[in-house]
Amino acid sequence: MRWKNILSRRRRERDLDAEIRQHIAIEERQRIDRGEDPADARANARRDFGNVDLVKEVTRDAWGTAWIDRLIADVRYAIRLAARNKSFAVTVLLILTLGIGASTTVYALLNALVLRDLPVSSPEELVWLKDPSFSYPIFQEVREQSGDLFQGVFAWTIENTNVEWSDITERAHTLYVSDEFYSTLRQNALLGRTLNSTDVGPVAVISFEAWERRLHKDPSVVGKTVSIERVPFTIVGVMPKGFFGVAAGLAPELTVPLNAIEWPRDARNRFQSPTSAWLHIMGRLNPGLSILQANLQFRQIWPRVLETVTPLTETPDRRARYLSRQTELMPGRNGFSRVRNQFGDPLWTLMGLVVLLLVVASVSLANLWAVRTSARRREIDLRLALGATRSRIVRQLFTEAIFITAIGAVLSLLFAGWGTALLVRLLSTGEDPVTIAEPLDIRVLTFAFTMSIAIAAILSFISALRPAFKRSGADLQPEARAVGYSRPAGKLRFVLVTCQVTVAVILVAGAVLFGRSLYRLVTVDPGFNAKNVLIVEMDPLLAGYRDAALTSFYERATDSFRTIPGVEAVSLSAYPPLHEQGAWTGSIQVDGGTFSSTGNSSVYFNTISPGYFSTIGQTLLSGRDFNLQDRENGVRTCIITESIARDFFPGQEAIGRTISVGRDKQRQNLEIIGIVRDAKYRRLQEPARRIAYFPYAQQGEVVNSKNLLAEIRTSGRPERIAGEVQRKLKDLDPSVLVRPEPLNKGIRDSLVIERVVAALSVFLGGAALLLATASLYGLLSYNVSQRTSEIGLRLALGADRSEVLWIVMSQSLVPLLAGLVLGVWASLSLGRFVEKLLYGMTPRDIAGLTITVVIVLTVAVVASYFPARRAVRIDPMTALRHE
Amino acid sequence: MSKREQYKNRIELLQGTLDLLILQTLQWGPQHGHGIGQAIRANSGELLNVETGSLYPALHRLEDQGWISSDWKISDNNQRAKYYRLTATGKKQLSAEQSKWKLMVKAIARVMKPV
Repeated sequence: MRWKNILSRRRRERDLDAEIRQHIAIEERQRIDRGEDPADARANARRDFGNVDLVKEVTRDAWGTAWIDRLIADVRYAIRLAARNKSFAVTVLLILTLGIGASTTVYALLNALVLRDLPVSSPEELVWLKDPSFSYPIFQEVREQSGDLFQGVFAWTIENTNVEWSDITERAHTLYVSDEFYSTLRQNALLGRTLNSTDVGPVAVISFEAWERRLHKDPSVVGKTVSIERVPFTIVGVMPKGFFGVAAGLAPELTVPLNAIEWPRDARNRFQSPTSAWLHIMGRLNPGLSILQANLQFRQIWPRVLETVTPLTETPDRRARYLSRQTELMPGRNGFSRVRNQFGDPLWTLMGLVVLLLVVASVSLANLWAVRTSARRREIDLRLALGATRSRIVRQLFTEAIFITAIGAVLSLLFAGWGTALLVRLLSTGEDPVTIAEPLDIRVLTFAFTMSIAIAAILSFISALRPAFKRSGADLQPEARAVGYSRPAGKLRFVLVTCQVTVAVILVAGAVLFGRSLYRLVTVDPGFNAKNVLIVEMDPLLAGYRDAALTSFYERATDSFRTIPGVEAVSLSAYPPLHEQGAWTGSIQVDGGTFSSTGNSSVYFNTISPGYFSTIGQTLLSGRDFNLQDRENGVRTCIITESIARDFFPGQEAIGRTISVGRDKQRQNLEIIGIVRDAKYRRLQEPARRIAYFPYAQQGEVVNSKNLLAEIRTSGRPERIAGEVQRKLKDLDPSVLVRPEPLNKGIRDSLVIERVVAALSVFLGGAALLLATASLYGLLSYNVSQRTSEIGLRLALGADRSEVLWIVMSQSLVPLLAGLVLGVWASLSLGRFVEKLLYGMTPRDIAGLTITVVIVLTVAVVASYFPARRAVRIDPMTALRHE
Repeated sequence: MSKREQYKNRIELLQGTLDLLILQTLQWGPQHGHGIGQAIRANSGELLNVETGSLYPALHRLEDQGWISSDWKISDNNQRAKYYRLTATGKKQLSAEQSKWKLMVKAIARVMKPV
């Protein structure tokens, strides 16, 4: 009924007009019939009817569509007002977009990576095993022994692989899953089928996104092939849109059976080792089982699992160590994700920062709104005087607040859409792209909506509380008629500005802290020179090279690299510095000492070629580098870092001494032939490690199981020769996959979190400082304008100009100093939440806080100088006449 | 207090009763707004004077509720006018209102009866 009314409003309006016209006409006719003079009859009929417009209005009210009329009128009025005062509208929208948009952006990422449930049915039944990686035998035993704990349990891992589609070869994440993966998640394929326990051959399920991107939604995709690490897989199914598996933030395009992981390189058997941990384990609890009950049961099962898988051949102390391994079931409704572990903390920190910015932005808006409402007092009084009801005006002010906030909310969502895409791109690196499906889901929209409503409510509240409504009656009050003498800004505005300064100080302190931490990280000495080094990943193992052929391949490859113009040095290593290639660690003993599990004898290992140190610029402190004498059948040698020499040979000469590595049959005694400077091993954020280097010519077993990478020092930018490197290797053997990347870029990528956090905190700090200063400026400007006559009088009476300057500027002292004190105090107490994100800094960073205080003070003093200058320039005579 | 609110108050005051009076009037056949007003005045012995500001909102509301319907016709003295007529549900509503009214009159009369 109502909607029909709305549609036919115009018609009804015309109808009502005619009805009333006819009513008067009938009355007129009757009066004439009764003998009245036609002119009188007409006038009387009209008078008799009453106020036509009023009758129309109350009749329209009966239509049930009156609220729409009013709403339209109010929105029209709001648009007119905004158009008349564009700068106000634009400022409000900018602040809204910044405040809500920034927090929605970060919330969208937090939601997608940390909070959101997996896109499967009953995700609350899912659990994962904490730790988080396990060996295949452990998975098998958990599955065997868990009894009626799980409805299903599966193991999975995501690997970086070389994938060949029909048209393109690329590095991509591939998901390897045990056969109960899909049945446990209760996930069906969109097209074809999922993987199941009957799959033994090379079959793959592809994601919807891969189907769309690579195969253009080819409906006959089932049966086509795609190669992973040179092995062709038959596609058996396509998953529905949005299904990414169990790791939030990663979107593997291909899912294949777990055993496929062994096919490309048959070098190491990952499935036999009870200790090598490479699988994540997830399960679906039987319905009705709480995580607490499940853990009670699991605590019975776990020791049996360990007992079964730990080999009896191990030494007692090693056995004891394996058996003491602890784990528990963790709630798995949002899966388990490396990306989450990596970005969770930084995102929560950023969330905290954007919420603080939102506070500053809201206070700024409240301030603006309050000033604006005061400025409209005359208009509102006038409308009250003309007969508008107070509720009507309040409703109209509410509509204005809601209208502008709604536009702001829409802009914020656009901003958030763009912001999340940008943030995802910033967080992604070449090797590890972060992928998020549907970042702005219903939860994020609700978040943005709630924020907008909260702000609209604050603004409405401010409107309704203005003095215009504290009076009753519709008389034009004296204040409404003239500008008159007003008081300076009230206490509330001082409190609001203080609050803004406080939050701005916190955000600036955060920016300084993260900025300084990043600077330290970028400028820290890693122990070598990362500039102008190209790291070349090659995969001769996949191409089938082993033993002598392999060594010869490496030699030919490095020789061919040396012929490229601009190449200064070439070397090989299993673990190039800071290259995220994982780590190789073990214990060493001095001079044939016995193994013990106690005491820290753990060091990092690397296998390198001669010339490695000079190529990456790590200084040889004493002794010699490896050379051609260090052959397979020669004396086994090694080079150690100075920290090993210091820790294992205190006050002694290490060169010429022997260390032992490995156990039992694999035990090797190595003669120390050189000492090099300490260097970082895997990450810039870590301290320098104790590293022992072995010549690759003497480590055949290692070389046969792990590809070596080449380091190439160039005279110019290393990117320039990347193409040439690929060509050289292709000439040598086109079947060997190759991927060159500058060492610097890899290091930069490893600092992605630090860079993003620093950049965003600088942005947020700057925005907060800008808003706070603008409020401070507004406060002082307002006071100067209110006190023009007073200042004029002072000047006329001979006040010094510097005195006037001080009068104005001193007003910023209270909010500024209070804000600084509170802000510094808050920064110190909030600091502990970000400790994990800092490098070489403590959150109680006195130098950083000093910088913060100086920045905020400088900006604030500059901001308060301008209103003060205006005050000083007041012409006493004009000011007095003005009164 | 604005004029508009005075009107509103009167509508509220008369609401149920006015609806009953309109329905009752339309019982005798279709009629236009002016005619309904006149009929109520005449039938009440000139005691009730329904203001247009009450009459028209009531007519439109009753139409929205589906108790009456309207169409344009030519009147006896050749004037176009919007005629309202009772609908089927309107008739039911009328009898319900009538019995409610009778009950109300009885009740109030009892209360008001001198002891």
